[in-house]
Amino acid sequence: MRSEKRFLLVLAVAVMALCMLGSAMAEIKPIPLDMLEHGTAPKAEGWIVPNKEYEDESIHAVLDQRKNYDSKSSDGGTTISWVVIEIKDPSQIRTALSFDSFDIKKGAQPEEIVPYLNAVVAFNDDYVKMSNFKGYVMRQGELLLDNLDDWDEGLKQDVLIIDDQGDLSVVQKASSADVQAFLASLETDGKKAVNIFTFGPALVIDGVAQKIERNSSTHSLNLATARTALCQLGPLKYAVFTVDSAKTGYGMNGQELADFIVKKFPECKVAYNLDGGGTSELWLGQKKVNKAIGMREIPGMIYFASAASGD
Amino acid sequence: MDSFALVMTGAAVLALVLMLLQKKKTGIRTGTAFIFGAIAFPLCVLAGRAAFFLCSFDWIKNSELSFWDFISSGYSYMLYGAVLGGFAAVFLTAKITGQSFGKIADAAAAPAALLIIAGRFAEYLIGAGYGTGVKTWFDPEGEWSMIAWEEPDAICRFPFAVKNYYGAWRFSINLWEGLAAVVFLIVLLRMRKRKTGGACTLLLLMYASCQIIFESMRKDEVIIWSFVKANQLISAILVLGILIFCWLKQPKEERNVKELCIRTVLLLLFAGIIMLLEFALDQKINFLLWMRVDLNYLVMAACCIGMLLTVLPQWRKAWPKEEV
Repeated sequence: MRSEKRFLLVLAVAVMALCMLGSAMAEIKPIPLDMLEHGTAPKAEGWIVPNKEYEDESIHAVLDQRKNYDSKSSDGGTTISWVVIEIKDPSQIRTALSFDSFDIKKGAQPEEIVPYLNAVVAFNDDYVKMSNFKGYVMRQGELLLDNLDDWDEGLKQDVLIIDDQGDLSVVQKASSADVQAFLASLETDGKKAVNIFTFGPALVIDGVAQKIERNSSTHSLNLATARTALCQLGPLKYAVFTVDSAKTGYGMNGQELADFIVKKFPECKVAYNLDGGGTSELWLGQKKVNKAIGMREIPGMIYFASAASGD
Repeated sequence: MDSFALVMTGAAVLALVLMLLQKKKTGIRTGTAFIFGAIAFPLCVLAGRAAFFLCSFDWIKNSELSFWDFISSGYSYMLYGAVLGGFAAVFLTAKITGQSFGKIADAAAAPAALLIIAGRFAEYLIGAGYGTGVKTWFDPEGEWSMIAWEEPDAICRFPFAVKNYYGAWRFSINLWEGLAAVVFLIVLLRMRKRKTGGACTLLLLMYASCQIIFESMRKDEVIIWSFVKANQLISAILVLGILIFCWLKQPKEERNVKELCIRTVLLLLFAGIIMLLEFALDQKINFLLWMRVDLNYLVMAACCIGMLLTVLPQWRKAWPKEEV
């Protein structure tokens, strides 16, 4: 009897030690800021449901879809996909430019970029690299362009900032001075910008769907088309939305997407419209989730990477 | 880029040799060939560079690319600019030597085709001239090709494809551009003597007609105005310009306005179809969504050949064969 108890005790201690060892092995390592650093490759065993749900020590991503959604502006039903992502470290939300360069003005095929990035979730960015040097651009801490003042007053863009805490903020209808002022205020709070995008507009701010002015930008916001949006739901919790467009005239306009996001996630702090149409891309692991017309090469991606140590 | 410059310099020397070898046929003097070579080389480089800068001014003004940094700035040249430089060199040579503009231009046609061949094949050295990913193109789950080919390893190799930055195999469009230029060279070398200006115009016509589709297939750093590739637009305008030029070169009594109108309408029709196909490639035309990319390019190639064949009879009339 006593030997049995001793055996159970030893067993329990061994299990606890193994668990402790396991958690030590599954340490989360912040990914260095450098664009050439990509995080660790998703583990095969992390796919709880292949191409639908992934989880490891540092990240949890789940795909959900609404099929045959009839938006008013669309000529027919469309699919809306969203991935909810929770990460453990802000360094896991990252960006990459095609050819790892802002100066090389050519895009790459997403099916080439995605495996290179080791991304768990990857989606298109703001296409600003191809915008003839208009915009405010920062990627992985490097300021690449500060030129917002070339836009006509009526076409000024909303600028999205992702800081080193992984928080999203939008400076609406921004001039360069506005963004600089915001960055200064961030620094006062002890934060730093890591990535800055110029596209927009902001779809949701503090749980309120924004009124999308139809002619307020060059981004065809009134048209039903494929769309991509990045949202922050809470601290280190995000959602990425894409709207499919199987044909011209199918998809959603900007206002419909904003309203849909708020309905789905009333707690949404910020939702920001990224480039859409043929550029719209959403990948979960190595699998493309959305469908958009066109086979465009894209100039960059935003992605969520695993920070689990590979041990 | 150093190796590219070296190949092009070697090709320029070979082009001069070809010009000299052809002097009996073209009637150009040895001194004229040397003077032309000496003027054309710097002018083509400068004009090719200037055209690139002018056509991409929007981003050039913000980039750190220097006009004078010819070697290390990659392939920042525009062939149509070099063509203008070549014509300027022909003009200057004609002024200096007293030989006719058309004669020198014709003598330069075959060497120019040789330079195009060298330039296209040398693009392998600088990672330029590539098209779509081979695997993407044949992906059975994709929507590119009518042919599903799961492992297209047989063509994932030089010279059919090149590896890009991401290690993915991309079609070598420069291979096809180079082979097309080989055909141009053969045609020019085998061409019977025609009135002066004929060879040069034919080269321009063949090059411009083919470049319309090649530019569409290229996915490297090409100059784009809005959604239109600059070289594609220039090529189409050039083909139309050559048609009108051919008509004007005909003796007045042989000019047929009705024929010119019909051929112009045909050219515009082909150009319109190509434009439609470009939108179809981006899947923006609902009624053409069924059309796979390879079929699209086949139709586009047929349109380019159609454009060439539309102008060719006028070229023949403008530059008839000369009796030996």
